[in-house]
Amino acid sequence: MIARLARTVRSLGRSAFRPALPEVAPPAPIDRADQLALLRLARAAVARHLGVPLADGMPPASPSLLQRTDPVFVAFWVDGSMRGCRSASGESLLRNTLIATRRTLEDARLDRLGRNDVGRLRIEIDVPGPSGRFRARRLPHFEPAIEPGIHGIIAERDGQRAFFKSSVGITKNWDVEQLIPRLCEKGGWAPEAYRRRDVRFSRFRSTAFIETSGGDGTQQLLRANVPIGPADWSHDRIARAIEDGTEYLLRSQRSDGGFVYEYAPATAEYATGDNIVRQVATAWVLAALERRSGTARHRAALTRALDFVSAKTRRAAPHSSALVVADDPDVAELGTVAFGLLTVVTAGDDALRATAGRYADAILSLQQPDGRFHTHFPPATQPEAEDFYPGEAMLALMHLHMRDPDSRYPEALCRAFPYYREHFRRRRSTAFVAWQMAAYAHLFRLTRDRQYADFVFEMADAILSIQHVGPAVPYPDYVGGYRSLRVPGVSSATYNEGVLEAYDLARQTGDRERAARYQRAALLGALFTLRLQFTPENAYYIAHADRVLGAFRASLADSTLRIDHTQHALNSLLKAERYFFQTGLHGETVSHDTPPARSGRGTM
Amino acid sequence: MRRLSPAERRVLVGLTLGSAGLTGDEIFDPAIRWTHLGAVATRHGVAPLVYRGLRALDRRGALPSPAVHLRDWCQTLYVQNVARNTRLFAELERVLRPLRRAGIPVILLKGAAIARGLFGDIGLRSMRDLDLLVPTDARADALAALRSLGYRLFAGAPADLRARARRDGLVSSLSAGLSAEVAAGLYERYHFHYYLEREGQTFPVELHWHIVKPGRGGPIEDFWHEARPIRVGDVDALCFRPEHLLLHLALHVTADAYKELRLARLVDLHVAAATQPLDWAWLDHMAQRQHAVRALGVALGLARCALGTGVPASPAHPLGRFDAALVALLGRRWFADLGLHPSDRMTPGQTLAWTIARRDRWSDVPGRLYRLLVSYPETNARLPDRYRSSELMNLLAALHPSRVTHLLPRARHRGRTASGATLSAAPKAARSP
Repeated sequence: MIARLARTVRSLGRSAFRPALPEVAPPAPIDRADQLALLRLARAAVARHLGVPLADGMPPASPSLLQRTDPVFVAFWVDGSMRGCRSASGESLLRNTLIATRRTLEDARLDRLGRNDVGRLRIEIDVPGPSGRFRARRLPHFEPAIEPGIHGIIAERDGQRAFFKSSVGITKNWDVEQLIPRLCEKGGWAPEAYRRRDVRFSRFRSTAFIETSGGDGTQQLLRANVPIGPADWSHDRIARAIEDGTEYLLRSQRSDGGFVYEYAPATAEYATGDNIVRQVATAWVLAALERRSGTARHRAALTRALDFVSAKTRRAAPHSSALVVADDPDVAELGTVAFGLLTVVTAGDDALRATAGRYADAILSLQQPDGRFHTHFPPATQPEAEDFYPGEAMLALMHLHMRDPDSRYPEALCRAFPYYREHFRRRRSTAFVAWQMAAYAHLFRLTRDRQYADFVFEMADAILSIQHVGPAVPYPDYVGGYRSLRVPGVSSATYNEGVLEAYDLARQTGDRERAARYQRAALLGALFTLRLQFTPENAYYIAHADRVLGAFRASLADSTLRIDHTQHALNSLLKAERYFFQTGLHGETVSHDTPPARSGRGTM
Repeated sequence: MRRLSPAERRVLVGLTLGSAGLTGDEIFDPAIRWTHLGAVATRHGVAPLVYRGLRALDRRGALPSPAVHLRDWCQTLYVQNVARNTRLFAELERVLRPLRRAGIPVILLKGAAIARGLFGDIGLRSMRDLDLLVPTDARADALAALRSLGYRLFAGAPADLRARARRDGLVSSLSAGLSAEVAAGLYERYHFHYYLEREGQTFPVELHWHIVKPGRGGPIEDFWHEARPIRVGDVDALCFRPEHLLLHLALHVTADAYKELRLARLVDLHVAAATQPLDWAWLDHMAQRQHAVRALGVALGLARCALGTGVPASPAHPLGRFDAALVALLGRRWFADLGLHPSDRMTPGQTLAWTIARRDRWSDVPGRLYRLLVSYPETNARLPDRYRSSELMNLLAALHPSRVTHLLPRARHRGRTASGATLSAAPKAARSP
């Protein structure tokens, strides 16, 4: 109680003495023709300096560009490595670009650009806007002031200045707590110098653009990423993202059938940790992708993934016929069994039908009289991951019911319904919604009982209240994402899976108002998901692009790749493709009251 | 040929009861018309059970390839049944809560009581409605509780109730529609349950206060005294003691007209008799007390003929020699006729046998036969309005030559073969000679 009171007083103090910072304005926009003119100017300077012929001529600059006097940063990128970055100011923008390019060519801090690099060179230009000073002496105070990837930072002390342009936090994958000490070091001060009163900080916003990967155009950048908006919405774009993501999964599959668990692109380091639930969940999405594409490569990868799941499968108890998936001889998580079941059901291998039934038996054995599920084998008294595992388990049961009908499966959901609805109403957890929405959407499609659809709508409305939409969204790349502690990330894709289910149900129930609302939210959510994917256009700063292309990052400001990020994003995009474009690529219809007729492969 | 062959009947019954008793030779018999068998299973309400049997064969790797389509067909029906019954049970929970809060005890009847408890899988037992039994003196309160959930009495009543009401002067004209309240009054006077519906809900609720019509059967209190607890979701309710359940199912079977007799009802009896321990002596005693000896004997006799239901020696013959022979004959004939028959045509001999076998009294037989033949003048759509109160005109209309020839279809059909019947086209194929 006292601690809570103290926290409240402290927070009041912070808000009282630290009024909201006025936002700094970005520089005046630069149109594409002028961006191209500046990039061609920089490239001409590079070609002249290195003595290589210039392929393209100089496009004409607009009169407004000629009049601008903005400072400018010029950076060179070759194969994901920075090969120089310098700034210039005090002259016209054109001249500043030329000066900054020459300085960058002579940047002694990095490997200088050579003649052989020109073909692979991508020039990035960053035009900073006016800066605004802010006060911060402790790292947490910097967080509200600095939006990673949006704000550049200037530190000043005794007339000496250190800059980080806005993209540094992204390209280095530093959060604010790492960025500030590094900036101090760049200024030649101690990393903790930010605590000193004589060190002053300013922030600014930029307009950034880069040569396209083909080198023949310009690509606007926001947070070192390619802006994606409603104009990008098309089936081709979604399909390409799914296919690129699939390629990533195939590339990252290990010899044992599992997947590379975590990779930090900025440092090119693989994490040593692993997580069986996320591995098996990825096997599930691979099975869905195999159904969609059906090539021999996909089948071979799925076979390896099934081998992985099979190797982790054991009896729930010595004398039980029920099966669990686990890498611990004593404990198994309900979520792992659920994804194991989803994998074998989606794989549609008739030989695995009995296995599927035994996974389902294990799941059913964990249901308690009040409908809730124990979350571990053997049943634990304290539920863990209660927001995740039961929803996953119920979804798996419904998937199995679609393939191999058994009334025990929908009945389990009916029995669980009062408990989990109450659970959600008691403690509205964002983690809860995606799986539960998917599970109860299936139950509604089966039974047409309105209470299940209403519960899905209730969860959708709750989650939509934290979606970034409308004029109050602080940054354009937030649109469609969902509020999180920091920058919105891949959890938005997870929520979008649920919203897509709600959209489908709203259509089926003839609720046009909801359908329109959910459709818009799901569309924006899918576009947001696309912003998280590494593509050749936005991976210009990644040293080993082949390790990341197609993968989905943790957030707009965190390039860390974990296997479940890509799994969730792909699952979300697969649903978006199914519900928005109804392609029939998924081997099942959008709304299924009855199971698809079984014939040959692809069923069980 | 619309009727199933003996081999097909064996397979149908074997699959209905779980497939364990079927031999490989029976299953792989090339003469089996799986499509036709599926159509008959569907007609007789046992397609979900057949799906269970076929699934078990499939899991043993013993599913003949011609049966794959039938498995898929029955699977679809099973899933639809699961969906429907899931919804029915969800509604049952919703309905039971206010009744329980009001302190009204409820006994679940028929599907609601046996789908989970006896079949062990709600998808295996088809249900069209929810049947609840409440004490007679609590029916008004129960009705009020259900009304609070949006239920309302169905406006209208079956033909026999309306005709009796007209004769008793309870309604002045048959052409005027019956209000819900009047209909409720008729149900209270001549029947044993209300018929309730709710907007947007595709199935009704039948609120019973007895299990047979007024003036028949024994004291309903017997059933209440022996009721057993049952739980539906998180709500407590009651169900019949196993012997009472069997008795009720037998009464239910024998209440149907012969042409409405379905294999699914006999499966109910079979499951109730075979899957739970029964005190047969007590059942015998109770059947006498409830004036249901004949119903029990007829129903079990039919189940034994069709499904081989095992019944201990003494209670298996509660009927006299004549009736036992009649039921055995009727059962064999009914089972031999299992197939796709036109539902609107009766075989006079079997109808007569059925009416005799399930009689309460001999004096009932002519009346029942007469009504089967000529219906009620008040509700006979073939009669002009001005003759709607004339029993004579009703009889003359029934004896019109065109109608009499209509009653004798079997002689014309005998010896002909219906080929090429498909599941979807089965009813149409069945109608063509």
